[in-house]
Amino acid sequence: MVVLICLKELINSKSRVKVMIIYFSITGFVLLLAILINLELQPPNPLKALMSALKYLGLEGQE
Amino acid sequence: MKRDAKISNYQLAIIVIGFCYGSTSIANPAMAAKRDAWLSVLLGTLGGTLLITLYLYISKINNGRNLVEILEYCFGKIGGKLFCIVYILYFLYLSTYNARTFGEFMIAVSYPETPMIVLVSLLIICAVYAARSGLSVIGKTCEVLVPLLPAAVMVVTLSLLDASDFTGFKPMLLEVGPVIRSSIDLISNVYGDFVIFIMVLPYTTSAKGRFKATYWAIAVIFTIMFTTSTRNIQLIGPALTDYIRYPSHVAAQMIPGISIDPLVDMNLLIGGGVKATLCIYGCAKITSEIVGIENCKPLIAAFAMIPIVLGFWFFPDAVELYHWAKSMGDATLSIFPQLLIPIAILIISIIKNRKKKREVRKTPPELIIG
Amino acid sequence: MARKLAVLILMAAVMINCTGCWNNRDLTELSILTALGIDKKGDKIEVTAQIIKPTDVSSSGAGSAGGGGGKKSYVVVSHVDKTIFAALRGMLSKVNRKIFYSSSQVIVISEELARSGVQDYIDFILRDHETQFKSLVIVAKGTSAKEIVQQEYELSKVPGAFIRDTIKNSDARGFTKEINLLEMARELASEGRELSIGTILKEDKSTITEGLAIFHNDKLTGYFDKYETRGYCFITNRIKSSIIEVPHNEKPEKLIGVELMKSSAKLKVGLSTDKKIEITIKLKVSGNIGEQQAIQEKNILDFCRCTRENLEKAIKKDCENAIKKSQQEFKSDIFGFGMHVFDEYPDYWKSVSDKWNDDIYPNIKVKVEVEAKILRTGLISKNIQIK
Repeated sequence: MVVLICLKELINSKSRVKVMIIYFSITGFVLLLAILINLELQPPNPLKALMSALKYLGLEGQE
Repeated sequence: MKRDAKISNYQLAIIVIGFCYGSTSIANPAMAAKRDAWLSVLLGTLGGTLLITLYLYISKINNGRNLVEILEYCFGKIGGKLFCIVYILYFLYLSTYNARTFGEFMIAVSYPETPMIVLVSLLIICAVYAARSGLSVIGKTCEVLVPLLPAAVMVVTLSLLDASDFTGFKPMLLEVGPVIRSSIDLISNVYGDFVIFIMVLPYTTSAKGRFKATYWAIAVIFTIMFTTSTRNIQLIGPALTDYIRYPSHVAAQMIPGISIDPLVDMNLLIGGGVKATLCIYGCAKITSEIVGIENCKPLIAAFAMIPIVLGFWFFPDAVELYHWAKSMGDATLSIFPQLLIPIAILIISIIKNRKKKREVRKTPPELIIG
Repeated sequence: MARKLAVLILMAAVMINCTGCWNNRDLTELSILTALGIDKKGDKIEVTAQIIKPTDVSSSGAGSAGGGGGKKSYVVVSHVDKTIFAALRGMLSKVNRKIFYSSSQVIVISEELARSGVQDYIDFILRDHETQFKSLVIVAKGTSAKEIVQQEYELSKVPGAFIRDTIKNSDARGFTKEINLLEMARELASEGRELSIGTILKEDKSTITEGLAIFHNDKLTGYFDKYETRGYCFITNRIKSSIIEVPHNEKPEKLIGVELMKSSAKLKVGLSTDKKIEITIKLKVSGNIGEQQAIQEKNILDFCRCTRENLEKAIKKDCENAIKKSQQEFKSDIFGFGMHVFDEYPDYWKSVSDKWNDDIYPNIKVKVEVEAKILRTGLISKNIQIK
């Protein structure tokens, strides 16, 4: 579903090689991540890691 | 450095109001301090003013260079590019967090069955369109939309003057901890994000009015936040603020007679939109400057897709988002790009400028002789 | 050209999506709920919904006064289940359209449910995004919530709105309390103040909104009668206007009606040296002579002075009765004195907060001082003497 919405945004103007490289690498990364999330194989959440580090240091927020 | 002047100082102030006020209309960090929320807003604004003065000064002594050029000037080409990447990642995180908060609020309050991706995508699509049109279009749009923000706040507050119960303020400062915490949260959430404007400041028409315009914007932001926090505390009471997630929305519901709670939602749309637009624009601009491309427009669409997907990775569900918002995670993540790097930039810029002045004083006599 | 087309398609897509199509519900697909009643049935609850039939309400313009039609403009549906959310969803088996709670004017809680504790049942109403925080809450005394919700009124085709308006009239009488959902949640969550909700009773073929239900934590413990409720309203600044009947000085069986125009209360908390709380309440009221039963009085100045003194005594009596009853019979601090103690002496409050209601509150000294002013006597200066 995410892939379909990404395709909507391919409104490209005249671009050079560098732009194409950056553009497609970003799009590739996004698509890969989206597919992984859909398959429930996503890499561990960095924010969660940060929160557990903070918890360890005793700076956890109140709920 | 010559730049095509794109926005006036007034437009700068307006964009700052829209950007910084952004998501506080629904998730105000000061509310964690409950009855001392007004104090937390005050302290936060004082700290924020200092921080923003730091950024403005950095921009001033670097004579109209934008963020990328400043970083390269201070840390050398490779170091500068590395720090630019840090900023790109930080702005992407900002836009993810912002878009996700926006989506969660809209779903919780108005559209329970709409899928999250639709709401987040709509916000991002609007932001992309605005960012692609360039800074002057952003400025002009904000001129029209952002004044609605304080107007809506005033309408809601004045309609509620009758219904408020002024018992919420005493006793003051029972616990200092929450006040300090929420002030720090406020500084990093609201005022710290001004760091993105170091990218934008060189494009204003005159360098002189920048300080004044920004300080006016801070004053307006402070007034709005102060009014909203005190009104919410009075209406809801310090005991209930622990339980109610969106106090401004509840406050708007309490207006007798008419039902204008969508007025609060509109605030979020405008604020969130401005924030998302600027973050994506900032990312694309920095990338284009590092890599050496003239036009950053094609990259905007690419960068816009990232927050949509990152939102699902970082915050798989609402509870994660709330947990993150309540913890000090946001403030901790922001310390490096908001505080440490700018301080380093300031120190290095001052040292380099002094060296340059000394060199300039030395050379003229030799030139005359030579 | 292609770009313009793309933009137009995008705009159309955005516009379609932004009208909330996923959640779109037309008015013709909704049943509008105007009153909600919650009763206890064994260990389950019965939720009664008053749903308006829009066509019958709109044709009431000519019909209502003449009593034409004769058909009720609303329908009452009940369902029994373990939680409110389940009961409301269960009603969909009896109602053809989805129920729209945002228009709920009044929430009626039955006495039995209130006695067993409201905490478990108000969570849904607070949590759901459709229910309104400004709906009024009322307790049904001596009757079930279902009967109140089923009650038909001749003066209005929308009974929920009728009950709401009678509750709102409380600021002109002081005999009941107007409390909305947000205030109810606030009183439950606040330390130092107990919940109290206005009551509605059934009388003849109609209902009366009078009296106050007193809660301890979240359980109903008793009621105030209408005069004690008025005392409560005086102390908590809820009266805007009221009529107080005052006996005449010389002939106590003859009454004078004073219409109060202004009333304000100020509380002062004092902590004596032996750690005892003393509260002083200063009430300032001013009013006009609204009605006087036939009597010959000599001097209008004396008359006003005597009336003023008697007025002060009457108000003081109402307030003191209310405080005494809440202290001794119910041991429940509904006036929020605890909150004022917390404001002034937070350290003292920390040490006594768990035993405030049961041990400390019944023994605190509360002094009520009333300062009244008689402003005018209306269009006539003294009552007509028969000659």
